[in-house]
Amino acid sequence: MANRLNCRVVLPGESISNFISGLVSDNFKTVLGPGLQRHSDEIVVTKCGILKYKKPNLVWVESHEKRYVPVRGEYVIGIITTKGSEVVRADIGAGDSAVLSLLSFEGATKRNKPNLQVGDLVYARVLVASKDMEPELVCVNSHGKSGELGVLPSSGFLFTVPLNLVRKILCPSCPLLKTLGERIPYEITAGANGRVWINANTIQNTLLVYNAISFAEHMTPEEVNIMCSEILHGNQEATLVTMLK
Amino acid sequence: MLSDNKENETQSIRTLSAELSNLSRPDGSAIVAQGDTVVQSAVYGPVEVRPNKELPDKAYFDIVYKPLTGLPGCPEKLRERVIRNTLEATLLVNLHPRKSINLILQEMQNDGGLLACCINSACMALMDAGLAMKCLVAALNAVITTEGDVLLDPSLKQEEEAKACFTFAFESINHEVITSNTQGSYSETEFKKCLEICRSASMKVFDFYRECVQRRFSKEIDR
Amino acid sequence: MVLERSDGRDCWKTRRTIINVGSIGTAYGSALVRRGKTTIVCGVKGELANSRPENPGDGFLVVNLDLPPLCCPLFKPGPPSEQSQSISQFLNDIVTSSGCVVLSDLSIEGQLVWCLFVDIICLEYDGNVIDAAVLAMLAALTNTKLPKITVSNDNGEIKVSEALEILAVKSQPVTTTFVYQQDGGHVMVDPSFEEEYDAAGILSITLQEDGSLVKLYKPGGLQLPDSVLEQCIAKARSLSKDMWHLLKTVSETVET
Repeated sequence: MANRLNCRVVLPGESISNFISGLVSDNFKTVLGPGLQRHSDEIVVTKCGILKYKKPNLVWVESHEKRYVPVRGEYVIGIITTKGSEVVRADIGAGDSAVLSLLSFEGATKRNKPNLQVGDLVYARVLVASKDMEPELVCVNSHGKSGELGVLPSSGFLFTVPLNLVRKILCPSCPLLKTLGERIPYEITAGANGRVWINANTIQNTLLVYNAISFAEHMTPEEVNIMCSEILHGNQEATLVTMLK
Repeated sequence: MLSDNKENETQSIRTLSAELSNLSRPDGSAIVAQGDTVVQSAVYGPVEVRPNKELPDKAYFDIVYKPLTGLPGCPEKLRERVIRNTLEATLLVNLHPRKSINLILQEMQNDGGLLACCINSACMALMDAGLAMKCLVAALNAVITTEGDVLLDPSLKQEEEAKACFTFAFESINHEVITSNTQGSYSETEFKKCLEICRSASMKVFDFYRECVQRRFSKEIDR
Repeated sequence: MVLERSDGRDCWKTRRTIINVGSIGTAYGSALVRRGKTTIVCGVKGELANSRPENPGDGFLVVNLDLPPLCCPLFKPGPPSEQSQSISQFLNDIVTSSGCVVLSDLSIEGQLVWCLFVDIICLEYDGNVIDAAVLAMLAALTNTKLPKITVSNDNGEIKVSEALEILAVKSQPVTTTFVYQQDGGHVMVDPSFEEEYDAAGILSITLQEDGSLVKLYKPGGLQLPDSVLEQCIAKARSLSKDMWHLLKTVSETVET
């Protein structure tokens, strides 16, 4: 059996206990991801989308979403909305704005805090995500290093896409970003909250990357490959035709 | 019993058609047409809540129903209330405390069965938004004609001429009644007959929901 | 196990109902209904109007329910809330569905018709306003006497005579409301404020004396199995009998 499976379309209220017991062997505890809930002995779907399975024991529902609900550990792009002396607030596209402490940057001390401005973009990690509390972001990893986190340069281009598209392009099996990079030099930061920041050498290339990502939403992996190869060969016209299909 | 089944078979609903995510800005949207009755709905959520509407244990579920012409009056408020309570029963509102889920319904065209179409359209918009739900809901409309016959999913003209008019909403797990609203007077047997006819027709609506979702994700399923 | 409610009633028992008719002297008809602590006043006033061209000779009957801040702290001053508007619509639906007042009976002569305003005010809100409001509306309409209007043939002058005519009420719709806590479990009739507030769902069944149903209103909430629905209809039938009996006694006492 394959390592990953896009099993079938499920709708809220469906019970998939039997289906799962045929998929996950008894040696493992099944891990339920988003869109699934356990009611006593039954596993019930709560979102409509595709039931996905990853070896050996992960099951979740991939659905179309536009509104972000914070999850601990996810990487997001926030826009600074208000500035305080200790903390700043960032809009991460969720129901609540998130808090980001100025001390949670690499090397920050009480005396030496990063200089953030309203409107700046930060790539941060969700530290606290509870339905009863406002989300909290950090820009350092557990070793106190920034890694790739921090303030994004002001030169790029930020756009918003459905959350499922971000998950799709970030999936290791998706060739899009890698193939694009072979032809166009560009930087990309994709947040789980549906915000994507890109920066290429020219405006034309930035827009090409933007279009390629936007159009990838409704494409099969094969179609993505075709689009990528057309971009790769510099065939702008053909690319456009594929995109508009 | 047999004759009843035979009668059910002759009852059909008007053609259902829908488009999901037809609006780009809302988190979820759907336009649903049931025959010539068309309702557009859009949903935002979970978003920030107005302080006076904040609930500590669950999301506030707000509905705005916009009639085709004029301002909303008493009949629209009743409709709004029925739609809200029906869909709130299917949403897992306790997952988003101190938030708000806003649903906007716009009547586009009314040719009978408006309340049912509103509920179906709202349900599809919530599905599109990827909000967590306990189950789905399907609403159906039926009338009893002056001759005493049951007519499923009537047009506006048939609805106005009818002796009694029923709207039912069913949930997708056990197909039990979530909502019932009626007009005109009728006997208990007539009521039960309409209920059963609507219930069996609700399967077609649920099939339609599945078909829509299937079409949407068709490219992403392994074959 | 017999479940007892906070006020000691069993699940299928309603609270005590008191009806007082004709209590407002300035109205054409009026009634005061108490259901437990829930208190509803209903007054019928009328004015002369011209009928609509699309239904000539048909009068108007407008039911309006007000839930002022006086009756419960949940209600705020200002325009009518969605709850009061939807109950008003529910009451209007009952009048049209049951045909208890036939609009053509409100015609006077030619274009001239009665426009009756049935205004219902809740004085104290302790749950189940719907049942009490339907009862108050019915009692007030049964009690309504309209002055006889004559239009002179010569100059079209309208004369209001001292003589009063009783408004014909053709049927007696009575509503019985149930709430339940879980799907189909713990069904209770005639909910108090707390029971209504905590309910998972509410169901209002309106019946006429000839046994026909007028409205089966279940605005969402948790799903209800058919067996429970049938049980509720049967219970509503037996409980409505008490209400019809009460209404009959009231009208008999008024006559004597």
